[in-house]
Amino acid sequence: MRIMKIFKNFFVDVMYGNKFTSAVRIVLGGMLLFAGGIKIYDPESFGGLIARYDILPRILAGYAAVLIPVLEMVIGLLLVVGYKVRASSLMAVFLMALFIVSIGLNLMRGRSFDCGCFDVRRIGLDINETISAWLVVRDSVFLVAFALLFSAERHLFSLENYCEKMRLKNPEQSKYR
Amino acid sequence: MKKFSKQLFRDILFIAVAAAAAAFVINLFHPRGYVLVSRSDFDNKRVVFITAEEAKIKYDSKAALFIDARETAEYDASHISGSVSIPAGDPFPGPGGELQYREQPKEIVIYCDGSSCGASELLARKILSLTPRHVYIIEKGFPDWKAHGFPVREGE
Repeated sequence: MRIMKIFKNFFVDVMYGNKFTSAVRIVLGGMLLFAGGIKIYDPESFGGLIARYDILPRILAGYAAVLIPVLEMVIGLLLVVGYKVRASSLMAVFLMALFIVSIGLNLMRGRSFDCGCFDVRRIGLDINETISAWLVVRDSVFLVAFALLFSAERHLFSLENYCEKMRLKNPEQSKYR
Repeated sequence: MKKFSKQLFRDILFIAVAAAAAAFVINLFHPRGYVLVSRSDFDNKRVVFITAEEAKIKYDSKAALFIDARETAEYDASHISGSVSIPAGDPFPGPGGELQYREQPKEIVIYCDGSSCGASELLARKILSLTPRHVYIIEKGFPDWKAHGFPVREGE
């Protein structure tokens, strides 16, 4: 019973926003930053990858290849720094939903190819990232984590939090007084 | 605090627009970025950029007509041996008439002064509007050709 209570308290804390929530935010933000950064290096091959998913019309694949890596990086950076966390985490939720749908659709079509999620082969790591149910599960976990960040009330170690503290310290200088 | 406030959507819109703007600027300067080309070029791929070495191969085979798209004065100063001068800004198709492009048995290679020189492309478009054929442009233009030590005829 006691263990249940500790567990419940921890859960409530995480939902409100404690150090664990912040760790999740920084790690996931860093992940997006990394994923975007490695894709920015070669938009052309990423475009080919998007074309392999066979969801977007060919002519739009190029635009997506240009936009998605930068969007990932911007969202990742905002999450790591902790600025506009709610907006950026909601966008990340949509991004993850997009990935899940595109991977899921191609799984249903019975196809099999590299998902291109992180493109780690470029930095010499050889991790198998062929599309699979496991990837859908992984992205779903990410989605839930981003949703948690979206719903959390407080983000420790964030720019938002710091600004709020400053504002509360010098109320007479604040324009929100 | 309201979960889905107007401010939230404003933030999302701002982030999306900022990311898109940044993305296209990065793409513009990215060595492996996407290039926006006009539909007609995309469909036909008739303008082909070649290096000075590739142009030299065509030159040696004697199966190519070299066209200098620069101004007459520049052509007079120095040009690729055997090339003809057709300044891109001059009236088109000029004294030779359309037939010189339409029934030109040789491959057409255009060059001008360096990579960002629009004269070659301008002339290439004019020629393509007359006839469905391939037009080659020397990518880094005359200076590159000269730097390789390929045949050049200096003016009198």
